[in-house]
Amino acid sequence: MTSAVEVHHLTKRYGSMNAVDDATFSITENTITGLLGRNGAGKTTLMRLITGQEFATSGTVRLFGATPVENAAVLQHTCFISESQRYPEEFRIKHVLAGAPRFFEHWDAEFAEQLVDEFRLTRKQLIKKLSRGQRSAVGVIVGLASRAPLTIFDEPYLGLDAVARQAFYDHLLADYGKRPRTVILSTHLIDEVSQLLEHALVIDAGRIVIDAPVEELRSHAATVSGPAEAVERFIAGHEVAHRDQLGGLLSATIAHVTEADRDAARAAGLEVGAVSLQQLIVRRAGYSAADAPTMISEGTNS
Amino acid sequence: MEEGRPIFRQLAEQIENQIIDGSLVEGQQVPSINEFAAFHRINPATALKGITLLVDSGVLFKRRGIGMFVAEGARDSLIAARRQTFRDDFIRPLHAEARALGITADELADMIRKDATP
Amino acid sequence: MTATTFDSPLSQTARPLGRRLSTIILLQLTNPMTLIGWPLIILGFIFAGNVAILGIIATATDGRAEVSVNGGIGFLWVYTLVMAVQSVNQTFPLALGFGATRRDYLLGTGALFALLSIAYAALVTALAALERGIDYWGLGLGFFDTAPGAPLWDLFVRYLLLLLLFASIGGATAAVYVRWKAMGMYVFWGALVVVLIGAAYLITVTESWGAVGEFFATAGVLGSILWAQIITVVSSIAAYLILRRATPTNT
Repeated sequence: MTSAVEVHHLTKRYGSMNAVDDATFSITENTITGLLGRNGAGKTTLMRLITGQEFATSGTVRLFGATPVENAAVLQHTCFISESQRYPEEFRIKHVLAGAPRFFEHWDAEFAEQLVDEFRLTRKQLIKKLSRGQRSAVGVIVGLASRAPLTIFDEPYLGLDAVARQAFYDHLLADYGKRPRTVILSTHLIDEVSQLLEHALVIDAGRIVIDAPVEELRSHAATVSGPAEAVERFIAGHEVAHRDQLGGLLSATIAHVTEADRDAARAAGLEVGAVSLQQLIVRRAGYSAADAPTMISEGTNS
Repeated sequence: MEEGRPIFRQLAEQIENQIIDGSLVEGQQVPSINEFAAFHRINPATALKGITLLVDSGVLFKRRGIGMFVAEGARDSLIAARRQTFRDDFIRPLHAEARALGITADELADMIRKDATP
Repeated sequence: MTATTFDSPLSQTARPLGRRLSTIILLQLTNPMTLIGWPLIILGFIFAGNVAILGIIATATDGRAEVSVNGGIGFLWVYTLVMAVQSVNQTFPLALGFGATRRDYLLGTGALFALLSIAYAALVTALAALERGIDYWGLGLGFFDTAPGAPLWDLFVRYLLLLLLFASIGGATAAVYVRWKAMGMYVFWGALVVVLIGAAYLITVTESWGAVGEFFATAGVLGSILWAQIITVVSSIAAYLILRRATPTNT
């Protein structure tokens, strides 16, 4: 498995704030990766660094094996769909569809036309007169039809209704199935996309806090609840992502449990519940600064 | 697909259920990875993992360039495996609980028979 | 990871430079109204207005005036500056989102405005030749021909250099804006005003206005325009250097 993106100790500093703080990770080629995190966590900056639109303060980015900054050989394989992409004042949808294909070797014009119909747009519409959702749809159309080997969608569905978002997810999956490529989907709507993702990168306050296959996160996380004393006994030695206590009852979210752990917990009379990806991420990343003590492992293998 | 359990395992179980209830028969071709992915709206890699599970256990087999098919004898072996799981998951705890309450094996068998006849 | 991976390895060499630049040029010409349609239409209206006014005057005075050079064509130079500002400001973030490098974007945009300048200069010179041929519309209107009697090549060179001058000033202005936004504009214009006032002050104090006037008189129109190309070169280089380190912000 080769990496489409490799990032080493990457930092981007604005003034005294680190928008991206010592990030190290890689993204496997031909996977759909979710870049998840709260608004302002550093998602956009990170993607702009990956595509050479920002200059790093320190650290390195390799895109298809080479530095992306001002490198036409690798940037030609990328398409960055930004939530707030600006288009020239007098551009209509047809102008976007006419201008984009020259940038993308694998552009599928027929697919683009089909998507325009499906999102109920017309070629003649002026971009600046479109609603928020319609603008998002234009981005989605370009991103899908570009078939760029690295396609980045940064919060691509702002203003899109549920039907249109589902259409986007369905097309993304179907087209990705036919023509595998590397897709980075940046979002804070985790539940909606969690099944589409193969890998999750979670960023919080500029730091990568989770970098794991989604199936692993899903199968290894559980909530164990019951009498506080019994739960405490069980979670000793586990990494506890979150805990809620109500009187004598304790509910703990554990990041790594095995089947044997589950059986043991049930045998001890504890209730073992499911944790959605969103819950897990919110618990592990969302409050890391405010609730730092809960992040500290109870046991030795922190 | 439900939350909290590996999706690939859920997919494998669904296909197994379809083989057991006869909606997928032996020798029949099953949908492609991409069809499964699109239908369940899951990542194709996840679907592949579920299918691989079934290929590895001999329930499905691959024909290069054509697709995947239900293996001969798949249904019988699945039922055998499920029976074993049934014993592990239900009968053993049942016995354990019965012993704790002082119910003998014969009494337990009687109780089961009574409940089985409506 | 997926069962159906059939992609061949990605090409590790960039497309030829010419193709990369034409992609940038064509992106900005995708809507031809912006850089070709509107300027020609507006120029046409200004010309028609001039013809109408001179026509009314000619009818009223019932006589044929001397050939008067009209400044209306100057609109094209100013509009070129506006187009350069808009084009850079609006297409830079889009091109980078589509995977272009800053360098290719800048070279392509430079080539585009050079080509546009050549085309407009050639067009206006051709219309000037026509004007001469049909005796200035019978109205004494020198609209396209701003230097009756000067050879056509001289006219063409003047027009071309003026267009390049204004395009490069527009490009540099847009570059400052794209890189530093409003704060950049304040500093840029503030500094420009200070420099101009300072220069005027120095010339006044040293009582050199006469020498300045003499300099331009000696240089002539074409000579002065040639001297102004220092500004063209400096602006172009500045635009390039400023945008090489700019990050598109989409706001």
